[in-house]
Amino acid sequence: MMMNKNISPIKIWREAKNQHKYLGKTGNIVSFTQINAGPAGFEKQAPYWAGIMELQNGERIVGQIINSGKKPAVKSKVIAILRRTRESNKKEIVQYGIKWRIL
Amino acid sequence: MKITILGAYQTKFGELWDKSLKDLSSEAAFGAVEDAGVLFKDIQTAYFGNKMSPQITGQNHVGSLLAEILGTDIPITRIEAACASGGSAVRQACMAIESGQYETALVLGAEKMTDLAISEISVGLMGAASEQERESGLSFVGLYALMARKYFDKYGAGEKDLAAIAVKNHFHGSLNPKAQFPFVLTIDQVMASSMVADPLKLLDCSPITDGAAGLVLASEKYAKKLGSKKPVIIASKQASDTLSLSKRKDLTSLAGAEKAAGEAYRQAGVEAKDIEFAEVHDCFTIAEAMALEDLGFCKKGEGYIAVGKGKTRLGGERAINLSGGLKACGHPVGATGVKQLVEVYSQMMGRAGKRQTKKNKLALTHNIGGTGGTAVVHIVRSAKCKAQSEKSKKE
Repeated sequence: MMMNKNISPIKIWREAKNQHKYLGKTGNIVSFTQINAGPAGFEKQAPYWAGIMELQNGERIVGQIINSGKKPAVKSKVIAILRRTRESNKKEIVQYGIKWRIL
Repeated sequence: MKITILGAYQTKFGELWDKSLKDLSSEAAFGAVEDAGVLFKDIQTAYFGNKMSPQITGQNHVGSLLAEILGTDIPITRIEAACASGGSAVRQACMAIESGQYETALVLGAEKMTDLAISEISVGLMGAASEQERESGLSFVGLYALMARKYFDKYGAGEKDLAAIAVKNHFHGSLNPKAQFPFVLTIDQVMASSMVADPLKLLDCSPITDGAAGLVLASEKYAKKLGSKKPVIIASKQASDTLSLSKRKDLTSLAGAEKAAGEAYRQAGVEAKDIEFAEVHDCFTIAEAMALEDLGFCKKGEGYIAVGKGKTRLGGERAINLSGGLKACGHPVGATGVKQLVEVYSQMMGRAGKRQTKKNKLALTHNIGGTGGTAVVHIVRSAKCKAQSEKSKKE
């Protein structure tokens, strides 16, 4: 019943053009949470961390914080990396986006 | 502003498998009109608060659906403002009457939510958040968890403090036969419930609910003709904030709610301290702690303390969420903002049964959309209450 509006090739192409602006940038965690029940497209990744990051220029951005063996904390330093995001089926294209790794 | 609430009705809230959106809407609309003691032909316009019908039931154009139910040709407009759809619909009806175009209006809020799996409803609800938040796999619990962690850090509150809010609302809900969860909870039960998005647990969250609520509103002149002694809406204000939580300076307060409340107090000519009871938007326990502060009932960082001391319980200083709130009464998103006013009306009419408060003359409702992107505040006084300054009469 519900269309998958999120995995649209045009939308992914449009968003991909801006991802390089963040890649490699560092910032600090403002707040974070561990999601145990994710929305459709993320259910199989649970549990996963997500949070608000503040970049050095003061810009704030939300994103997933990847599990790199380090537990997040407020003020943890993070770096933007490229990762697969929501799950797609075999006919859909694979979606990549910015996630954050704790330094 | 003086808009009389002529009639009000709430359906049972819950997981109502045998009821469709149409059944719920019909029951609430007929119930409100019957309670108002008017005829359908006396209703001149209607507003329908609904957030998710297009996504959940595939039914858009619910204004026309309501026209079919009522057998009417009056103008009916759907209002969507996420979980503030109901409150916003009430405000639109107030403004339509204030404009002088209409003397009476029906407001309906309805939502049918339990037909979908949780992961799907979560996607639907996240339509009220920003694209970046959706792409991060955040849920609404997740977004409020980000606020809760910041609130804990800033003010030293903890998970048990929030649990007390759920316990208090369940106590009120246990006295409300229309509530989805009419039973009490203990702090230990809340603390032992599973973590959804830390620090928020299952029993910190309002549920997925089917339900509807309706109001019949009328101009002062029309109400006088009927000799009405019913409650009067004396302020109706709405404010906006960024769609994205990350674009806000402060994660421990909703600026839109503060603005809407401040303007509503000015319009009504009353102050926060005058409000005797309130229905606030406790979609998650942390939201009620922040609401008490944003509305000026408590200083910043002291909302959770007031709850812990029992000040917000029935019989306390200022009872909050006598209906059980979103937590225990349930949260059919488009209906919630309308239901809050139904509860205020019931309390002022002395019809609230076991949860009746004696301090029932001046009340406030606080309805939030998304993470605070929309905030709607109404102030209502009973027919017995004289609290309205000369200044506000001019407004």
